[in-house]
Amino acid sequence: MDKNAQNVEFARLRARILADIRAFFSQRHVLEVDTPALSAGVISDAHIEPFVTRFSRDGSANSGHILYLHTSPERAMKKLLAAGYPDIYQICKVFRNGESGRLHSPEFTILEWYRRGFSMREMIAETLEMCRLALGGDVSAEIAPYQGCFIEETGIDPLDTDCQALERFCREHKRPAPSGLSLTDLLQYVMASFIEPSMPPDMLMCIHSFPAEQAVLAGRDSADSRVSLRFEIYYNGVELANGFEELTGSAENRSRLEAENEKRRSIGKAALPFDEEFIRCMDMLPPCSGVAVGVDRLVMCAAGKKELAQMM
Amino acid sequence: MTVNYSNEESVFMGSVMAGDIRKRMRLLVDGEPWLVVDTDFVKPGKGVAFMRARMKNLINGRVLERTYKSAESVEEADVSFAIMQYLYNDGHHWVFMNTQTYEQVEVAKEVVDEAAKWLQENAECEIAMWNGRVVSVTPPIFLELTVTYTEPAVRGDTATSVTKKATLETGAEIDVPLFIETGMKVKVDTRTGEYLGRTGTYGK
Repeated sequence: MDKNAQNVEFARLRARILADIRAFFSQRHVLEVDTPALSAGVISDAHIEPFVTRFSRDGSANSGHILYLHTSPERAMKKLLAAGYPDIYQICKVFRNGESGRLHSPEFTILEWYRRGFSMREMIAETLEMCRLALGGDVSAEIAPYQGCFIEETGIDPLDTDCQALERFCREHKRPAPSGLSLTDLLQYVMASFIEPSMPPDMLMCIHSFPAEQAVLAGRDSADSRVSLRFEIYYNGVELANGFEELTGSAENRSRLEAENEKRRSIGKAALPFDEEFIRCMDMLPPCSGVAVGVDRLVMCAAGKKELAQMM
Repeated sequence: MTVNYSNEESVFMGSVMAGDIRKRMRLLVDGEPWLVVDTDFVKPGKGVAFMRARMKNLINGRVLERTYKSAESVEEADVSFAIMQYLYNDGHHWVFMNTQTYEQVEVAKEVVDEAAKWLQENAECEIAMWNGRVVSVTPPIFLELTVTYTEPAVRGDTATSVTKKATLETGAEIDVPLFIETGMKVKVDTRTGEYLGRTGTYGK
């Protein structure tokens, strides 16, 4: 089959999956929404760079209002929930500067949805069901806590360790970490270098209860504040979904975002402007859980491919 | 349709941001020149980005894997590649000629190393130069070479093996099917020494 014919087949697969996703949410009375991609205020993240542009009446690039392209629809969708919208979902393009590789594209399609009153566990169950629309109804799943997984793979307790122990582990297992990484960076390096590649094949792997520092706007576990109510779902080592029980309350949200901006400054990046309205709205955010899924990666996995570029 | 997010043609700049490392770039690691053979951009959902590079040492062929923070600066090695024609050797030096400038260069035996057994007269080889000296010689991937000696195929020989050894005109020894005879020309993959098939008429 020539490349063009294959691309048409991939397009059919993608269209089928998107139709199934819409039917899935329609059955569950989750409303599809479409929020603006451009905004003046953003949700700051130490490691995600938005594309910046300007609105100017004469089209000049050097004057006018600075606007950012969204890196996720989270900010806008949470404002809708705070305003009283029912459960909502969105399928849209998001933009992240500097990200390009086998599984990364600076422009990609995200499916993000929010469920009022869902616990993290319920959100995990629904996300797994949604993934099965693309990957097959018979795909098995395993659900495991971050701490347990980490200890099983490395013998190290991620909630009670230090940089030296993690660096030593990486060295001894032939994948030395770059120097100067923080504890959180090292934990993520170990996840990406050792744990993700050795996940059981052809099944959905859900890891939940991440260390609190790795989940900016997630609620904390009431039983153990070192842990956040965040989960990730992988398939063949590919990260497909990232979700959590959402953090409510303006004070908490403000302090988390300020901490992210501080982190940005400390690594030489510019702080990003807040959306003050978003922060105020967080007092009205109902208890809910949300999740974001990489649609391009989901379709890629459904097609049995290992790189986004193979799908184009 | 794929979109190019960065300049794919690498021009030597002295240093490069790890996130911009691409295949075929030459990096200076531990004082030696390495050729990047594969890259992997690794970025956990909410975390710092890494670039993992698999590289081959241009002097001794060793393979190494290094992971950098995407924003880290990495030194480039000033390595250039040229296609040169193999002319002859005197046992100590192997002589190659740049077919555009006619400039000749002598390469020491240790540097030619394994490539020596594949050097067919006038073969166009890839020469890597670093700091003004040749650091590696790579023969063409596929060559058609004459078998200079192999044991005759004996009819009715209920052989216990399916292949036999054959010596080629350049000195390499490979495994060939039993029907191959001295004087025949065969096609080989020089990377693996694999016999790929018989070609055309008998060699000279």
